[in-house]
Amino acid sequence: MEAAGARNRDARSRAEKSPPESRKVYMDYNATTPLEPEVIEAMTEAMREAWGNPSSSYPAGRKAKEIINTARENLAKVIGGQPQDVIFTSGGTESNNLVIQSVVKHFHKVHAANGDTGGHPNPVDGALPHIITCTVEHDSIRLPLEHLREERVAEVTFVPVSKVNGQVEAEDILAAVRPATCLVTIMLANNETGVIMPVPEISRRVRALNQQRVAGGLPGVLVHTDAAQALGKQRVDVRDLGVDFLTIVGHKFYGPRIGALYVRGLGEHTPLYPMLFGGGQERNFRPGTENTPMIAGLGKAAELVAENGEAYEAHMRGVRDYLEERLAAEFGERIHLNSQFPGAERLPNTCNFSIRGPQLQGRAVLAQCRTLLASVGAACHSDLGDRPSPVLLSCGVPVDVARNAIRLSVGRSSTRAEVDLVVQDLKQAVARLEGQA
Amino acid sequence: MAAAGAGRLRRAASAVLLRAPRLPARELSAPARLYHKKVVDHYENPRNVGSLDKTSKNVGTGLVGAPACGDVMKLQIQVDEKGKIVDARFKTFGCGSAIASSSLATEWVKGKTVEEALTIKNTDIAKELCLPPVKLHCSMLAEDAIKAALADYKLKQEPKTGEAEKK
Repeated sequence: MEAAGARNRDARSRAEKSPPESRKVYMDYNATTPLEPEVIEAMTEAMREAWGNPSSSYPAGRKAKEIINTARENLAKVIGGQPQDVIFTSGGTESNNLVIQSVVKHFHKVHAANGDTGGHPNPVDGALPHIITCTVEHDSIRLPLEHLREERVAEVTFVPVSKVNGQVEAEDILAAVRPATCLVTIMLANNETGVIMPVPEISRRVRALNQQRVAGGLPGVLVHTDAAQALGKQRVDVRDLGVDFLTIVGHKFYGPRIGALYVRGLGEHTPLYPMLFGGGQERNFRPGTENTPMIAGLGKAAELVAENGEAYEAHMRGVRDYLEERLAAEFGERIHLNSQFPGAERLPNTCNFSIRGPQLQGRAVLAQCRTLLASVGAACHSDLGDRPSPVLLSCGVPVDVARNAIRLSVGRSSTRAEVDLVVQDLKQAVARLEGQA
Repeated sequence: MAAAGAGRLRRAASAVLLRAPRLPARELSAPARLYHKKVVDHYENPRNVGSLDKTSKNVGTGLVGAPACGDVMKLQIQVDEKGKIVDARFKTFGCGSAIASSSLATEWVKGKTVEEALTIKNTDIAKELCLPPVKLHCSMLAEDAIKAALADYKLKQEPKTGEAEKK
């Protein structure tokens, strides 16, 4: 015991001699998450043992196929869907693009064809397909839609979110529906503010509307939700959400950098037109020899969420709430919690806040932090310079406050001890910036 | 617990002493790198370390924290028929501040009614022990432990729960 104690003492004093600045606290889990050890294990095992081509009929290939099937089942289970409704993609961007491309193609195929429909006038003859979304979507939804709009392939309505609760209102979505509308796509949870959108309500109302529309020969409106940020942080069930498409992103729930797309009644109720053509994998909806190790990891990550999701959620919420308490205690009136909107539910792990002050731009504060690793908004927007986040501005946050925004997103292993360190770090960062006035 | 803890304190204290000469100039502005004497006092002379009979109907047990996250605290209270806390014990796995926070918590709950004990706030504990900012979460855990013990006690008083199958 004593010998071990002596060794530990040396190791500990060595560790404690290293400067405290080298201790980093990661609070940017909305940007990406590390892989859980079990996920890494599942992936390396697949790399070692299941490298065969899943389409091959000999044992090495069949083993890979089994792994893929199990992963598909796990993914289906965690979202409350059927395995045959899940296809694997390279990530959220591909899944989102796939949905948008598909509905446009479907519209053209069904409604733009000038076939004789028994004398009935086609109510959308000549019109472009119309898609409804909101103003705070991720780039992988916003940019494809803007691109289609520029190419005059589709028309798009970006419904503004409420400046009161940061959500998009179902009323406004329904009000934007036109005869040629074929898709409503609304993210389930926003990556910057953490606000959760009222997707179940939107789906319900669209479904009711569809009954009349289809009877009148109009295209049915499909509903898609990008669930990238929500899965792994709160319960996601496609039956409760009522959506036709759901995007799954592995690297947000401690899985690898691939994704999946859920399509309700894939191939039967809901059409899906592929972007890629090739070897027939994924029932031709997304061909390409399967990335077995990544798929194995995704399935394991989904399994962990199915088993422990509630515990993860409760833990993250506890740490995040403690963080907000400490921020308020430390900075008092100076702090503006951008992610707290009255009446809106939000992700349990996200805290977007601004410390008021002319020198306290979000990036400047983070640059002065020695411990905290975080971002001012979406990681893919890090090249925005000092311009405030368009998402925050859309939510009604004033420009000077939005400019100072910092987004902290905690994870499964975040602790209150880390929160204390981070708050201290922010305090010294602010003091340095203001001392340099 | 205290025996194992004392060795840790000595090691930690010696590490602090080793660290002091290496502090670069700007670090000296950071206050209180040493344990406050109140924390040291609770550490070397902990009050109320131990256990109560958790199967007893008058005992409420709160177990909070997780080893993975760093600290675990068990705090138990014994309540008399009039609803007054007459005894309290704690066992804590954690740093000096965590031990001091839970030790202080047992001191404070004694003599209070169950309702009064609910008003103990982490900020009071932190202020009393002069905890540095990076250790405020320890006082939060102590407040959670008190509340958990009170909740467990209240649950046991409910008429239908005859069995005391608590963790």
